Amino acid sequence: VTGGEALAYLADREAIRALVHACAAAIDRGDPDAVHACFTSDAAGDDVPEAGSTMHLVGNHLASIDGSTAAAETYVLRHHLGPAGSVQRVVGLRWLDELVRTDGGWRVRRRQVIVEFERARPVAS
Amino acid sequence: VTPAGLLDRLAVREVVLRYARGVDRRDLALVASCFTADCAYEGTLASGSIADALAALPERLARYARTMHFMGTQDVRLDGDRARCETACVAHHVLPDGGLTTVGVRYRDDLLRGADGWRICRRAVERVWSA
Repeated sequence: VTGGEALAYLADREAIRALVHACAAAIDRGDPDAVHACFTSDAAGDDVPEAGSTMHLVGNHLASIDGSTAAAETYVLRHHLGPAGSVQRVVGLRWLDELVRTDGGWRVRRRQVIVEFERARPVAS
Repeated sequence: VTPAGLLDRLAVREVVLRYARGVDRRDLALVASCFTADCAYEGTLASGSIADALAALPERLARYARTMHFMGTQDVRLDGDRARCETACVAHHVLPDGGLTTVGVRYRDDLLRGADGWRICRRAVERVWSA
């Protein structure tokens, strides 16, 4: 592997990682335009919850690139927020993304959301 | 920092994440592929070798309907063909009755680069907290 090839690969990996993180942040901001910008125009994007109602904590991220397509798996802890800074629910989920390189950079063309667990956190009185 | 060094850092972090994927998907071959055959193991599954830990893993996983080894902090130190990686993990265990236990785990891994890439050659697992 030449230095140039290594850098090109690292740039792709970082772009994919950054895209997944940007999507999580845009969901939390309640910014549907920014969320949809992470997906190809023919992809079904996430429903965007109201701003300030979730906090997505992104963890394990693995991606494999095959030419102009890629597959990524990302672990997410989705915190559903309640009144007065409370957490009502924590959902552990995996995003299984198929990505494609477009003229505008990497985009998610298909996202499968797999819920692993859900924990209710009653609002503190 | 060279491009090759960056690839190494990424590869080291990925070995540990592949371990989590293997466990959570019940892909024991993937789990085994993260370790050298003679990897030393000290932790919650066994005390001795990775072979003992891998042998104990199916029975341990059978206790849970699902697991999610959520990993955050990864502190990587590279030294040529050797590396150390310390990983903080919150392991979510879904019980057959739908209950959930949560365990904070620290993995201290030594890794070696071989012909087939980076593998863990020594692992110490510390159960730090549970809830």
